[in-house]
Amino acid sequence: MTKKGFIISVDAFIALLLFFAIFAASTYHLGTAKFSAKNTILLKESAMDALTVLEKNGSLEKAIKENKPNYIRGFANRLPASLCAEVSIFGQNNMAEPVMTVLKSGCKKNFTEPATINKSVAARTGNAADYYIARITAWQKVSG
Amino acid sequence: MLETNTRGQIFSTDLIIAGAVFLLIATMTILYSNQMAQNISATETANAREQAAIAAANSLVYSPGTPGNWENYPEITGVESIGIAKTRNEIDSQKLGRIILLSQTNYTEIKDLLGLSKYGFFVSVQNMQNNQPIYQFGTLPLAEKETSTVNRIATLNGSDIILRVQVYST
Repeated sequence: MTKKGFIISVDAFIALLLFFAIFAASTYHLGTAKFSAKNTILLKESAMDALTVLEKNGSLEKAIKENKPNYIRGFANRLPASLCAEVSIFGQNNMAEPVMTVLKSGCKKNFTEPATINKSVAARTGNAADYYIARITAWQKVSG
Repeated sequence: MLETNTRGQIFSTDLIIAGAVFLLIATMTILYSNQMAQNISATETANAREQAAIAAANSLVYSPGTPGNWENYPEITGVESIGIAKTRNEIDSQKLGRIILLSQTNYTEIKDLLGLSKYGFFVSVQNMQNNQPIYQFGTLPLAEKETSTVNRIATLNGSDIILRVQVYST
C-alpha cells in the first residue's frame, strides 16, 4: 500500500460545488425578499381615497356634465408626488371606449403593479340622472 | 495477512482538510442563519408598525368613532373608538378640533384608542393645494426613530387635504 489517495475526490468536489451554489442562490434569493403587501394595500387605499374625494368634491360630476376633464386634471396634478394616477370615465354600457381620460402630469404609464378601482357616478340633470363608471388606476411613480 | 503492527494516523491530512471544510460550512451556515433571523425580526417589527399605521389612518379617515358624537364628551372616558370622519374621506372639523385638544392632555389614551399603544404617533393635515400643514397633533418623532408614514386623501370643509399619519417605535 504505497499509493496515496486523492484528498479531494471528484464526488467530494462536486458536493462542495453544489453546496456553495445552493448557498449562494439561497442567499441571493432571500436577500431580495421584500414586504410588498404594504405598498399594494396603500396603493389601493390611495386610489379609493382619490376616487371618493373626486366624487365628494363634485369634480367627477362637473367634468362629465360640462365635458371638461380639467376638473379631474386639477385634482390629479395635486396628488402626492410619489403617486401617479390615470382617471377614465366610461359610459354605462361601453367599457371599451372611455368618454374622457386624464393622466397626472409628469407620469408615465410604466407601472408593474398598479391598483385599479371602479366606481359608478351619477351625473344629474334635474330629476334625471345618467350613470357612468369612473376608473382610477394608481401606481408608484418611478423616477427616470 | 494484514500486518498488525502498523498504526493508523488519526490526524491524517485528508481528515484535517475534511474537518476544516466541515467547520467552514458550519460557520457559514450559523452566521447566515443568525443574519437571516435578525433580518426577519427587523422586517416583522417594521411590518407590524406599518400595519398599525395603516389601521390608525383608516380609523381616522373612515370612521366617525364610537359613540358617533364622542367629540361632545367632556372627558375621553366613555369613548370606545376614535375617528374624525363625518362620512368616508370627509373630515369633521369639530372632531378634528377635539382630537387636537385631547391629544395634548390624553396622548396615551388617544394612542390606545387608535391601536398604537406600542408606538408614538404624529398626524398632520396638509392643504393639498400647497402641501402646507394646517393642523397637526401628536408627538413628532425624533430623527433617528424608525417611522412608518401613511398619506390619506380626504376633504375638510370643502377643501382637498392630505392626512399624514406618522407612526414610530418608542
